[in-house]
Amino acid sequence: MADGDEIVLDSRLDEIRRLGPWLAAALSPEVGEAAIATLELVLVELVSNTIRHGHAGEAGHSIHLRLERLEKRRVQVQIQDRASPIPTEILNRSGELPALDAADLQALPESGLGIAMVQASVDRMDFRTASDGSNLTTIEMTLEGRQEL
Amino acid sequence: MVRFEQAEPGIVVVTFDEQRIDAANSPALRKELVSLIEAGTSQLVLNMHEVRFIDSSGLGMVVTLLKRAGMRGGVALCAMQAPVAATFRLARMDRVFPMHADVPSALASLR
Repeated sequence: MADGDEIVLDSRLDEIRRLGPWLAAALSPEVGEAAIATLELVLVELVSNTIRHGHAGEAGHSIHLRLERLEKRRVQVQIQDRASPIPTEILNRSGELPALDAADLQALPESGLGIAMVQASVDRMDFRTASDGSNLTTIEMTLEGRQEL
Repeated sequence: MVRFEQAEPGIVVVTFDEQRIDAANSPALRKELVSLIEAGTSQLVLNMHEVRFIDSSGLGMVVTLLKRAGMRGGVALCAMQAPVAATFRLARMDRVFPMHADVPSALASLR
């Protein structure tokens, strides 16, 4: 994989489908399909959250992603955008997945699982907003279930 | 996008002709399948055989269907590929939705 692979997406939900092929091109065949799929899920959740909430579904805004290999088993992805930042109470509230009870049908969540699924998958997530209004989300993840890089 | 088959009285088998159920297509799928429930179908088998990727909006759609079908109805999922099953487990949704191997066993679970 080349150091510092990058992609720029437009803030449209169909653009999230470019993430899987981008990751596969950067990480295959050294990284297994299952690990790439988990990383894709994490990025799809973060980017679609930015598009739906940060940009209120409005197209025409750029979202930059940069993938870097930190060491053999770990990668870092940085996502930069100029959307409205995720409210900190949502980031804090979503730390744990809810306990689900199939018998309590109406309590099952129909939305809001995305950030919790991200936090359950990554080693580290950091979110900061710069003084110029741009947001930088950084995740670090250990890629399991794969061949040696 | 989806195919419907009336397998038995009151039970419809829904086959997704999509490799992905994500934020790009789950709102349209949700609308189409909720219409089916509102038209009187309360038991659904979701055949996931073609689906290779699902995100939280896709999981949310499945939860919506279960809620709309109500306690007297049911939603049974089958033929899940490994990455899709992994996402259900990650969200702990495997506790809510048993995963059936194929359409006949999913149908049997609803009888």
